[in-house]
Amino acid sequence: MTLKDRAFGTLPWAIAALLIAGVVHIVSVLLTPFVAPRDAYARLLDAAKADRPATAAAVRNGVMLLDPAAPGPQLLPFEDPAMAEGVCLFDLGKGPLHLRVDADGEDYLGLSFHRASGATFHAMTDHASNKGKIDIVVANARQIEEMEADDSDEAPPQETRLAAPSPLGFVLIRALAKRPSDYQRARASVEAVSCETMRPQP
Amino acid sequence: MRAPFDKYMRALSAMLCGLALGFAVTAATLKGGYGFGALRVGPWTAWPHAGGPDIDPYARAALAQRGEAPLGLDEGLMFVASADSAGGPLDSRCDYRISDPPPPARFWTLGLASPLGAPLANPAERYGYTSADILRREGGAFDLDISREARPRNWLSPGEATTFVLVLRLYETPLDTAARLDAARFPHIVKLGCA
Repeated sequence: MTLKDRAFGTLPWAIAALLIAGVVHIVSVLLTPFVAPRDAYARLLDAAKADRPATAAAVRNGVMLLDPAAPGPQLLPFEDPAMAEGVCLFDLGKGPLHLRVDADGEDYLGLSFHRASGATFHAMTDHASNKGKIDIVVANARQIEEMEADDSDEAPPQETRLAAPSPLGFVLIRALAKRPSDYQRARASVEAVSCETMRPQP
Repeated sequence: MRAPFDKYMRALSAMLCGLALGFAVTAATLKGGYGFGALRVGPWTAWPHAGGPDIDPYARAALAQRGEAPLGLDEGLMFVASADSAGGPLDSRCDYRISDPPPPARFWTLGLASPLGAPLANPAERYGYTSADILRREGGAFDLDISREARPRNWLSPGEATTFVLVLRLYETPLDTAARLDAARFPHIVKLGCA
């Protein structure tokens, strides 16, 4: 057998291997957000379950307060050490999440709404508040429909309704401490946020 | 005459090669960055799509794999630099000076982090500066020195880390992420010398 014959004999198999590689690559990239074992939601859920004060300091008004980013293993990588942070985990199967914030409008306060895999589906800052208040309900499409059916015609709903693309997820609250000495004040504004799962009416 | 199972062996090895190659390419693409749509300005890189609704599957996978929860585009934008303005990789044995102009944003923070996104332990226990607490010259411009040795005014130390990245976060920035940004309007990173 000449070298040419050998090359022609191997070529179809090489093409087949490349095609398989392409399919495996695309499928594995698309599946990663669903199967990644240590995605942001899993990390936060672990922190919420563990009663280690090192990762999750306290739960107040349904908000889990996070420790400031410090050297060492990170709960969530690439978080800003200048931010006081809190997290509300939601599971829409148990009911919509009601989030209330009092923003003073002076210091930065950011809210980002994430799928379980970490991707952001909505974000806003204290500049979006209405008279210093932010009132948001995170729900799935069916729950929003039910709420709309219950709305009375006279009084418009007070809250903003946000459709979540996935049943599990979390809201990350970030308050900026402009100077290291402002950290406690920023933390207090995260503590003032309340998260509450709305139980279905009996 | 060849063995009758020769073709089967070839098919099996083609399949295994394909599997290995596919997973290797996935691992390589998820290792650095967040897929497509990187916004590069001088040494700084941001991925505005990773924090928006038009996120691509590569960014989704990279975020899930690393456990990150990125800033939403309406909150702000995070720029990371792993090289200086001349293109050389950042080395903690060297001294750098980061100088103006301050980027347009309601607030910004500028700090050091490990390539995996953890703040760096250092004797001063300072991980970054914000636009409110950085010391400015007259007119609002600033300089920030990065060195293992203490410096007067604005100073950050990478501590004992060997490699580091610079992280610039712009909160509520009016930057148009769809447009090409002007590197002259972003902070310059200049290497001063190496120990």
